[in-house]
Formats: sequence, C-alpha cells, structure tokens
Amino acid sequence: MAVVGKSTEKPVPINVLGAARTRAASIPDLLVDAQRIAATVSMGWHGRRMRGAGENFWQFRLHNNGESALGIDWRRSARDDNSYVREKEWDAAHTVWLWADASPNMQFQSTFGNSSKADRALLIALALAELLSRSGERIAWPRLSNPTASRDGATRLAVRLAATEQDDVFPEFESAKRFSDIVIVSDFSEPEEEVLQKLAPLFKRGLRGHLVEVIDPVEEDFPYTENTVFTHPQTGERITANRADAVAIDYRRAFLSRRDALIMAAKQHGWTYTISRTDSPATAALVKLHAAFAQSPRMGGAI
Amino acid sequence: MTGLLTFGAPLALAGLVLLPIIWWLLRVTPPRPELEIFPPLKILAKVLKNETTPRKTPWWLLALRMMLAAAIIFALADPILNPTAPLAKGEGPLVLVVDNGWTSQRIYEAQMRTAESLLSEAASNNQTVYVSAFIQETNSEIGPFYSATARQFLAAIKPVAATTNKKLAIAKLVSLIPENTTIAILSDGVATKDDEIAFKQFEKSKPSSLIWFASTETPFAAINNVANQAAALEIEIARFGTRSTPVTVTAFDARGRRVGEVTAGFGPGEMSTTARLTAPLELRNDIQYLTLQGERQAGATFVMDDNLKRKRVAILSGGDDEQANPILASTYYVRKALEPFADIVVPQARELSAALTEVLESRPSIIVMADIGVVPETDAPALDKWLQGGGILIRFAGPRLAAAASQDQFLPVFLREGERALGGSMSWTVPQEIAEFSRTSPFATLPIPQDVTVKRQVLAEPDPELARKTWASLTDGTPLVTADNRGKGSIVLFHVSPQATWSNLPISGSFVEMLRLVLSLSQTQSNGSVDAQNVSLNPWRIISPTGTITPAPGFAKPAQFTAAKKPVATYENPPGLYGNEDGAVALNLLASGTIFEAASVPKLNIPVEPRAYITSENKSLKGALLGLAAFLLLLDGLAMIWMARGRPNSHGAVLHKTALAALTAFAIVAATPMDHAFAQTNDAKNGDAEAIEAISKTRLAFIKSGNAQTDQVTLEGLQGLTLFLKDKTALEPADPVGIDPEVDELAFYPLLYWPIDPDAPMPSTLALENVDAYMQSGGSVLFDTRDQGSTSFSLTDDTSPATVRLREMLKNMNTPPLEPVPSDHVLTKSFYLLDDFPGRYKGSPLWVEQVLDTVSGQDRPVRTGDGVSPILITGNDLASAWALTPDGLALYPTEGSDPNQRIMALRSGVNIVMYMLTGNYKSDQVHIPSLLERLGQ
Repeated sequence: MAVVGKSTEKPVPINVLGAARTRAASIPDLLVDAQRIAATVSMGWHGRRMRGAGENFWQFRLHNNGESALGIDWRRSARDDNSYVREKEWDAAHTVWLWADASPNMQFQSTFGNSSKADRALLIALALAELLSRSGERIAWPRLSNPTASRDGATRLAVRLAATEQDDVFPEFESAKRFSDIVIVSDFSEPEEEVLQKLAPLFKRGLRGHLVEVIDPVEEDFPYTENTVFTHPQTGERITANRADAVAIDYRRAFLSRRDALIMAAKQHGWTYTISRTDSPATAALVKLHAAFAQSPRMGGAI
Repeated sequence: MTGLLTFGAPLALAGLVLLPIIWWLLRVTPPRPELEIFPPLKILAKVLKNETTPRKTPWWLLALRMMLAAAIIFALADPILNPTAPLAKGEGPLVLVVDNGWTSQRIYEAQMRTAESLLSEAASNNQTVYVSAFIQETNSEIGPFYSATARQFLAAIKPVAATTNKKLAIAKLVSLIPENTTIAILSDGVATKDDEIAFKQFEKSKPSSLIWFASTETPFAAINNVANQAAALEIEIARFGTRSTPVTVTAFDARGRRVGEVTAGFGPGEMSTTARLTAPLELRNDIQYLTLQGERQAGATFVMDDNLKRKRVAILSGGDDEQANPILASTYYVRKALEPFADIVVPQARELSAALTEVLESRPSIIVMADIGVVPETDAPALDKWLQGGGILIRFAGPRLAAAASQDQFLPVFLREGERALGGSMSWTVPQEIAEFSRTSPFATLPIPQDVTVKRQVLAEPDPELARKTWASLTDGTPLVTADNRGKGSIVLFHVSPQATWSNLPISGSFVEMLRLVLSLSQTQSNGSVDAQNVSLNPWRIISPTGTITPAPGFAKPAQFTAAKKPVATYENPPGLYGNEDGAVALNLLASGTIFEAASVPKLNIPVEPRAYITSENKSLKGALLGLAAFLLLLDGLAMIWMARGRPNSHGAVLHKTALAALTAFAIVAATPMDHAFAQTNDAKNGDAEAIEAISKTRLAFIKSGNAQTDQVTLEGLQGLTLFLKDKTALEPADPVGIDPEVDELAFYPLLYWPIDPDAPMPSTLALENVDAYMQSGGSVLFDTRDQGSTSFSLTDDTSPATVRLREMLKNMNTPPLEPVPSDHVLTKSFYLLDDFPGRYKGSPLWVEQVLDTVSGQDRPVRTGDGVSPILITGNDLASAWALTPDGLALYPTEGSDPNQRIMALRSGVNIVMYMLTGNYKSDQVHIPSLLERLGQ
C-alpha cells in the first residue's frame, strides 16, 4: 500500500477565515442559551425576555413605596396620577472560549481526507467564532485574546492568530470564568487516560465544554495491510507492525473505546462531544455544535 | 574406505555454495516495511505493545535456518561414517582365515568389515594376501593375491549352513601358505571340538604373528532337537552367550503358514531349555519346520520329516455285508474314530488275500482288521515283513476270530476258542466295566471310561507274558486290549468286536482316544524313506545359512542315508529335507544335547594377538541428518509461534505456517521410498451385471418348460398379470422372465410359475435339485398342471399326464404336506377377498402347504401361521387366463359361463403374488380394526 498519510503546513488563519465565513453563513444565528449563567451578566445583543439590565425597553410598572426615585419615568408618570418605573429587558452576553489544537499531530492529512486536521480544526473554531460574534457573544482564545464582543470577532481572532506563533501546549483556560463555555477542537488521539488527565481540571471548574474531535479517516479506519512502520509526527517514535491488517481490529477497538470513554466523561460533566472527520463536510460538525449551544442543558443548579 | 567420513554423493556438497545465497535471501526478506506517519501512535502502541517483532530476522533464527539448509545438503550428500583403526602389523603376507560355519552368520558383516579393513591396510602396506575360509570348495584358490583380487575372493566367502571342520581346513591351509606370514583368523567365537589341535597346526608354517578376531559376546540360540511326545512337541533349544530374552519358536507347515508358536526362557546359567509346543495332533502333523524368531542362522531352523505326518490306515473286514447297511458294518466305528486323524484306505478287492496285498502296497502305517478269522497263508510273509518294518496291526475280535483264534499267527496272545458272554438270561455274570489302566500301558494317560460295559469278549490263554502284553483289562482282570511287538511294529488286539454288539466300547469316546494313541505310536511308511537302507536322497528343501527354507542350491549333492547313522550336514549336504514331496528325510544341523561354548584364544608358541571385530557399522548419517533437519524445522516453527505470541489475531496465520512447516518435515521424512503398493482387488465376477439387473427390480418369473408354445403362453400370462398388478396395486414389477433352473440363479425371484407340460422333456436332476434348494431356502413355486379334470392327486388311474409328470418331479423334492386352500387362509385375503382361485378353468382347487397347529376359531377371520407355502399347485391354467394384450384385451377364452372368471383369475394372481411378497402380514392386518378399538380413540 502506498503511503497514505502526510504532514501538512500549518494553516494560515486568514485564508481559513474565508472558508469559515462561508460555512458559518449557512448556520442560523446562534442563540446562546444564557439562562443558567445569570451571575456573569454582561451586555449582550440578545434580550432574555425578562426585565433586567439592558438597553431595550421592557415594561412600565407602578412605583413602589420606598423604591428609589431614580427609576421613575417621569414622562410616563406625567400622563396620569401614578408614578411609573421604566424597566428594561435583560440583555446577557455569553463568553465562549475557543481553542483549536495546532500541534504537529494535527498537521496530518491522508489521501482519504479532504484537508489536514489542523485546517479542519481551525475552520471549525473560526466558523464558530463567526457565529458567536455575529450573535453578540463574547469570544476568547486562551493566551491570545480576552473575551470581547464585536461583530467582527472572527476576523480579529484570525488576524491575531496569524500574528502570533501558536504553541502546542494544551491550554489551561485560566481566565475562563465559571459558566463560560469552552470549545476545544483537537484530535484527542492519545490514550483516554492522558486526555482525561488534561481535561480533569476543566471538568472540576464547572466550565461547560464542547469537545470537537477532528480525525482523519485513516486514523479511525486503519486501512494499513502490510509490513508497516508507524511513526509519530511529533516525537518520531516508531512502531513496526509486520502484518498491519492483523492488528486492525484491535486498533479500531482501542480507538473507539478511547472515544467512548471520552464521550462518557463528557456526558458525565454535561459536556458535549462532536466528531468531525476530514473526509466529511465541516458543516455537519458545526450544525451539531450549534444545536449543542442552542439547546437547554440538562445540568441543573446553575440557575 | 579409509576416511573417517565419506560421501556417497559428494557432488551434492556443491550445494553448500548456496548457503551464502540462502543467507542473503534470509537477510533480505521480509521486504522493507512502509513508513507511515500515524498520529494516534500511542493508541496503536497500546495494541501492539507486546509485539517485539524485529525488522530483521534475529541472528539465532538465521543460524537455525542456515543449519537446517546445511543439514539437508549434507544429508543429500549421503555421508557415511566409518571409523577404522590400524589392525594388523604389516609383516609378511597377510593370511585371512574366515570362519564361515553356520554360527558365523550373526557376525558376518563384522567379519567382512574387518576383512575389508585388513585388506585396505595390506594394500597400503603392499602386502600380498591369502584369503581362505574354513568351509569352502576343495579346490578353491586362496592366493597369494593383491588387494583388489583378494576383495573379490573375500566377497565370495559366505556363511555356510554347516559345522566347520577346522582341523582339516587348517591342515590344508598350512600346506599352502609360506612361512613368516601374518595370520588373521576371523573366528565366530564358538568353540568346536578339536579346536586346540586344529590351531596348533599353524605353528608348522611358522607365521610371524597371529591375530585372533573373535566375537564371543554376540549371543544366539539354536534348535538342537525336536521330540514328538504324546501331547506336545518338545523342542530343545540351546543358547550361546547370555541371552536374557526368552526365545520364541514358530512352527510352519509345508506352505510356510504359521501353525503354532511357543516361547521358552532360559534360567540363569542355563545353556539349554525345552519349549513345549502343545497342539492337536493333526496340526502337529502339518509342521514341516520350526524357526526361532529373531535368529538369522541355519541353526535356528529345524526341519521335521514325515515321521510326524498324517498316517495312512487301511481297514480290512471279514464280512462283506457292509455295503448294504453301512451303519451295521463292522468297520463303521473304527473308520469314524480314525477319519479325523488319518487317511483311511479301503481296499477295492473283496477277497481278503487280494485286499491285503492291495493295502500293503499302499504302505499304511496301521492296518485294522475287523473280525478276520485267519490271515491267508500266502499273505503271511508280506504282512510279517510289513510288521517287522514298523507297521501296527490292529485286530478286533468277532465271531470269525473267535472261531479261528488258535490258527492265527498274527495275534498278540493265544486265544481260547469261542467267546465268553457276560450277563444274559442264562448267566450269573454281569457285563463288565473297564479296569484302571496299568502304568505301563500306552492308555495310562486316558481317564477310565465309566460308561463302557463289555458283554462278550474273546479270552486269552493264561500266560506269564499276558500281564505285560495287556494294555487294558476288564474289572475282573480279563484282558480287553492286548498288544505285542513284532520287529519294529506291533500287533494290537481288541478283545471285543468293532461294532456295538459285544460291548459299547466302539460307541464311546474312549474308543476314539485309544485308537488315536495307537495311531500316535505308529510311524509313517512313505515311499522308500523310513526303512531305507543306504539310500541316496536328493536335496529337496534346504535350510539356508540365514535360516530360511529354500529350494536346493546347485552345490548341494545327494546325501547318503543309512539306517544306522544319519549323515552330517556339510557344505555339499546342507541341512534340510532330502527326498521329494512324497516323502522326505530331515537332515538337521545339530544333535540333541549340543552345548555351545565360547572359543578361547589359541595358545601357540607364536605371538597371538586377540582383537575385537570392528563393531561399529559404516554408519550412514543421512537419516540422522534428515532427522536433524526435521527437528530444526520444528524448532523454526516453534520459534515462529514464540515470536508471534502476544500478536493478537495472528495465531491463525502462524498456525497455518507451522502446519506448512510440519507438512514439509513429513514430506522429507516420508521421502524414503515406499515399496508397498496396494492393489485394489477386483472382485467382479461374471454375471454380476445380470444379477444386478435381476435383483434391482422385483419381477415375476417362470420356469421354461422347453416347449416354445407353452412358454409363450406363460410369458404372455405373466405379462398380463404384471400389467394388472401395476394397474391395481402398489407393486410395479419389471418384465417377467423365463429362467432355466439348471443355469440361472433362482434366489432373485420371489415366485416361480411352473407350467407342467407333459410333452416337454423331464427336467434334469440338477434342475430339480436347484428348485428344491430354492424352495427350502424360502422361495415359492406355483405349479400349474393346466388340466383341471384330473386334480384329485389320488392314486387312481385317471390322472392326467401332467399330473403324473408333476408327481415324478415332486418325488425327488422335499414336498411338505398339502391341503386345498382353506377358506380362512391368508391367500384368500392377501389383497382381494376370494373364495376360489380360478384360471382358464375353474374346477381345480389351489393346493398349499398344510398349516399345522393353527388356531382357527369363529372370532378369527383368518388363521394364523408363519411363513409362506413353498409350493402351490393348481390345475386351472392361470397363465392363459392372465394373458392380456398390452391394451388389456384377453388373449385366450376362459372355460365356463362366469363372465367374471377372468377378472377373478387375475385377482387370484394378485393374491398369490401379494401372499408371496407379504407373507402372513395380512393375517396380522385383519386384526387392526379390533386393535384400534382396543386402543381407544
């Protein structure tokens, strides 16, 4: 069998951005369900259909005794004998931390994949950033940009990503506050213990996470048949399999059991887990992510 | 032959050149693996973590495989290991003396190997060589030779099935060799008489040295003698050396078939033992030679001559009333008693003198005379001569002997005139029983017959010798059996008659035993063997030096046998059987009491150097190397399994490979040529196709009468019945056939229709016998006299010719009692319910075997009874009524006014066929309604 895998160049975020925009355009505006993050109230673009701090008018109500007079809307009160208080609709902006793995591991593309994994990961992250910033959420990138809300958040993010040399270290998300959402796009192609060990601090902090597994088809299907030496793109470590097809079934079982373990862990902590194969369209994963953001989480107790 | 290691096919060693190539090939394979970048390596590593498959074949596996290849190449080169050490000092000419007596067979190879080595040394020392053997033809050349010629002469020296005469041989040798030689004696290690004197003669030729090769350790066993005792063959076996395992003697008959086998062991220090082969006399008679299993020399085989063979017994009787009623014949019981053990000769001549002459010509071992009064004077000398030569005359008393007792010279004792009656209405005495046999009697081993009483006997005159001559006596002391010697033979007199009239001895088991014992005392008198005086007999079957029985070789000369002394086995008179198949005398190598001793090193006044034979063989290492290769292959396979262990899901592939390797190993091991080819025996016989055709379908058959017209009608009738059967029943018979009972097999057909045609010739006896056998073994025959007018089977005169013919035919057959088919017979119910069985006529009843002892009651619609009647007789001409065209139209008119007669005839046929095929099945079936009722719904 001819060699199927190759290592690719690092993706240029700006170039990816265009594709990300295209894909994001096909996704409806993202409504981040912010009900459960009342404590991190912040100005946002979308009303929450209840009174609170915000810019848009919500309702007039009678002024109660003892209440501060500052809230009285005099113009309305002048029309009759009662004093009215003008209430505004509660606007809440949600902070979403994005991170796409850019390690050499990710710069892998097989003949079966449409793009390298790093490309795909960045694409998903930027498309998500586009969606979120379009709907006024605050997006952030660990060690790169703090939560900011702007219409062109994705563009800014792409520019900053291009300008900065990314390191491969798995981020700690130190600045992420409780009830922030984090999106980690990676291949998680390590034994589940190692992945879970990295994720454990994040689980503990009560963050709501979305794991996106970007995977090349060969990594999942293991189509190798002959005497093959496998090498790790990062460490250069080698393993020889005399008859690769003989281990295929075992490998697939191990690969899927790792994935199952991760999905199980994610579920336990109320996180979501999305898979994107580079031989299938990125949109599929985006739609799934969108749904994950939009639907009401089952995690109780936050509100 | 000088190197330590030689190769049978040294060119194959060129294959070693291939080793580096094999090395290179092993190094190169397996092909270089693909290098694949694989990010989830750690997951893969988890799965593959135990696999330590190296990218190159490990050095030890490489070495193993190289060894494997080298082993095979060396094995193909056929290496032979022959370690030799210098044997003789090269002083003067070498004189090789090979001891080639029969005891040397066991060490022949060692002798030859040693001799070859000696010759090789002599060749390298430029010595001339003398080659001689202890037993060789008188004028054979012994040298001096050069080494190459000597080899040819050495190759001609083979063990001989004879005992060496060393004294003579050495005397002759010494006269031929020069002085100052090196004498190498290749002794077989067994001492013979005069050894010391024989070897002393070497001093005369003044040799420089004498090398003594001996093999005293190699054990063997030999049969000294075989004695025929009453109950068993006693085989005397001597051994040489300490042989711990017991010896097994196998007896063979003249055709080389194993007759018996017995095993005997040697006690510690015992040099000879006796094996007892217990076998019936008849079986022992058949034994021609015995061999010791596992021994390959002439002494282990012992031939037996005709003295043990089946005896010939002539029976003479005085009366000539025997022929009419054999069971009353005077010789009937004697003949019955002796028949299993001997060949009975009965003279053709009626007249006694002629008969006696006739039987004496046939040289019987025993002549039995039953109640013969006086032997004719003219024949007395011939009979006496026969007796002197070892014949045994058995006489029985009787009225004639009793009358003429005093005149006869061929009696063991003097007899009183007349006989004595014991018991009876006018006597006080009672019939006497047989007393205990005396210890000296040949009958001593027999149990006392308790059931024998003697009512009448002839009495012996009192005589001092009487007690000695008496073999058996009655309880009152009067002799019953007396005997006396005549020369080598003897006369035995039974004082009773050979029939059961005087006593019941002849019909008792003891009688048989007594006669058998007398028989075992006798000798065989074959044509010119036993009492041959100075006859020269040609060798017939010879014991080869390896102990097998072979036809006589060319060098074997006729041997002189004298009555006094048997010849000794020599080179020209090898042991074996001399004579021909009619009678042979055995010449055996050893005599009773032979003890084998180890030969000692001769003590001479010249230096004698005892040496041992080169015992290690020229060992071919081919097998060992191939075995090593197979073992290495196995190791390789095991290594493959070991290396693949922990490699999941690959066991199948590895096992596959291992199985392949094992198969290869088997192929190498099995590469030795196989001689056994098994031919499938073809047991097809003539007529198989016809038989298969006949039995593959049920069909009706008739017996051809020989009259073409009758047969035509019968065939048409059976064809019609066949059509009707196909139409109405589940039976679909094939086309009917006509058969000839003389040649055709009848057993294939369930029913034979036999139309009796008085005009046709009477069937032959053979045909009738065949039909009878067919009927006895379960077949049924339907006889049809076709003459309804005369079916009474009475003895009146108005019987028709057909009935007369049928009677003639049935006279010679076993015909059971017959009856007309009773109304409750199964035949009336086997398919249709019928009252009678009409054919073309209506008047004749159908006769069947009478069913005896049947229960026939009101409540039973059919009588019980097993089996099918083997015979059915009718006179209604069934076949004519059955005869139909293929369209179902009748061919012949029926006699009678009943329009249903034809249909009833066909139904009769159906019932008969069904009865033949199903037997009494229907008689059980008629109970089914009541059975169902009893079962309850």
